[in-house]
Amino acid sequence: MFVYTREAHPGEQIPHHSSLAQKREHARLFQERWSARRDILVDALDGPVHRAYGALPNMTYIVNAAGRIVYRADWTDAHSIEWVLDYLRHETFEKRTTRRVAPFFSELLGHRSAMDYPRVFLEGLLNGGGARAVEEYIDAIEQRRGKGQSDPMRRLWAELTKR
Amino acid sequence: MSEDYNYAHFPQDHIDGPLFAAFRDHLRVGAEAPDGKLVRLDNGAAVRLSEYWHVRPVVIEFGSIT
Repeated sequence: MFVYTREAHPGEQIPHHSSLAQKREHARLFQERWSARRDILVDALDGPVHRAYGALPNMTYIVNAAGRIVYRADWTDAHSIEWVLDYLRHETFEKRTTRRVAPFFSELLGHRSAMDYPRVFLEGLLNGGGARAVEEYIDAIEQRRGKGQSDPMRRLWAELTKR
Repeated sequence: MSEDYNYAHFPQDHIDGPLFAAFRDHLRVGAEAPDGKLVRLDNGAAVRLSEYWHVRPVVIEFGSIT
């Protein structure tokens, strides 16, 4: 299931939400663009559910049938989600066959692919919020990480806008 | 409140910012998942998150089109 949140990178094409109707409209655009078949749930305008879970732009949680969090990631990562779901199926089987199970705690520090970054990311911002979203993102990178990081992005952005 | 949450311009401190750092110790595995009311996009019905995990595990992804 997908929870629709505030706009992470608002711009002139897709601005920030000022009404729930607008938020629903953006969720509908999202569904069409990605042909999403999952249930999409729209959070209230000031994001109470999103904030309760940490307010990050693209996080994922897996909650078991007892209502406990069994997996969480600060960025959506399809590979680990897949193997956790597979693991949960195995665990259900174990519970049925051995009847006695003991809980254990586990964590993971993953690394997602950065190969296409930042071109694909900047293009995503351009197709989402629009040019303003790209520029504000690059400015934020410059402020937080310095010109060494932002200058290559500016060159890439200049290339993208030339086309 | 709504204006802070629904920022019109990308906040610079969202890069390597406090939200990512806070996530590490917030709602760790084993914690009870917070419940809440949301609206289904397809039919506009009000639902509780807990209705989804009532029967089997559920993947909850958060995001937006931007």
